[in-house]
Amino acid sequence: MTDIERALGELDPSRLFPATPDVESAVRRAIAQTEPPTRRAQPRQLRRTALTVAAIVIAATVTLMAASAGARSTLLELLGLEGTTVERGEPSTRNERPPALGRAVSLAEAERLADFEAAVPPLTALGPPTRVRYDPSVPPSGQISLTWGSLVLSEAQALGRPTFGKVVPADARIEAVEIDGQPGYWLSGSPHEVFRLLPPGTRRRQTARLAGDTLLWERGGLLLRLEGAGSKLAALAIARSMR
Amino acid sequence: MGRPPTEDDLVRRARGGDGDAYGQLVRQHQEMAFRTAFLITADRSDAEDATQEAFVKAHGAIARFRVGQPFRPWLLTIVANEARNRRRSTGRRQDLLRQASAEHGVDDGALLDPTPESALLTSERRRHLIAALDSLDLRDRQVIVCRHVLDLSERESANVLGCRPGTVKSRLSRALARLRSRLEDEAARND
Repeated sequence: MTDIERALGELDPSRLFPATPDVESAVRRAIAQTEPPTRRAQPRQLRRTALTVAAIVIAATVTLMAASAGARSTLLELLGLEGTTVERGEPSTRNERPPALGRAVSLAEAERLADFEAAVPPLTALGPPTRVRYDPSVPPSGQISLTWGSLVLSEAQALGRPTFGKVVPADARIEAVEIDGQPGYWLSGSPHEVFRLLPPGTRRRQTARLAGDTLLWERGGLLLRLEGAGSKLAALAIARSMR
Repeated sequence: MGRPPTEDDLVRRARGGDGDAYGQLVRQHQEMAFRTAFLITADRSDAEDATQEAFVKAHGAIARFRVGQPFRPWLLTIVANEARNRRRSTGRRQDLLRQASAEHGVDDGALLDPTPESALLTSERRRHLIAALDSLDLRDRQVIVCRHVLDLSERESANVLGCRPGTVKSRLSRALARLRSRLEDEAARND
């Protein structure tokens, strides 16, 4: 330990920071006004099982649900990926063009613009990305996309509210996965529709496009989407290689 | 009876809907949560709002928390996200230490030192150190304060700063080097 580190350690945080307010009573009041926590407080395993059952039920009743426009699933809310909503239904677009990912910039420039540090797979896994793109229109601070040919890793800061919506057809699968202890999910089978959500939940249909197999997960406050990995195994291996 | 409840006990009880248990978790962690939020927002009321909101969100998500893991790193990630959302909305420039020192007034910590000479030296050194820290840019200051003032682990600092743990290490060593050179510049000016 150097002299500077020692001197820093001797600084008294209570002199550098304002006095800590007592937030306990405000927190308890706010919690009391929300739903009772017991409903959400099921053991994890049970929740997973319930989730699988829910997925099967949703798949089985998909024709019914596809008919109703508001059949939004709470799958992702249960899983913890609050940045995306999922509905079952038939995609309304046939647009299969690659996603518009914004302008090509350097990684450092993208990180500066987005004000977060991108999660990057180790060089040994994929090598450096062939392109880095930044799209400022994704809330809250834009989206950074790294591409290796047709493999696309997109990252944005996770918000409390959803920023993307997905419409998943009947014959596509939604599978819960785990990446470094964090929940994620693997969407596969038929292409699904992805679109932007504008607050308060309005759709911007011109952004709608069909996406292939996609891995979605959260990591360190970021919502990540990996598309074009070829297989679930490959997608998970890439996601898990990131530290 | 007997032993005080462990953090795991409190988390388990909070998941079962025990408001007192969650209240106890809030009390145990609110100081670090608030300071972390302040490090990002540099505004007392924004930091308080972010802390409060983070505890409410953590409660809503506590079913996703893995019992047996330490609660604090998980909580601080949520706190940092809340704080960043508030900072972005106001676009305020950071003046963490300057603002905090102003709030505490002059450095009366010197009074605790045994002799007037050493007291003067200590308080001068502290003042220089704080001024040098304050002159660093935000990223440097945040990583130094996380690791050496708040004593957060590398993993916790990474959660708070939104980067990888390895980045914390490299960013910290560069930031300390810059802090050292600021202090040396200052010393040279005073010679």
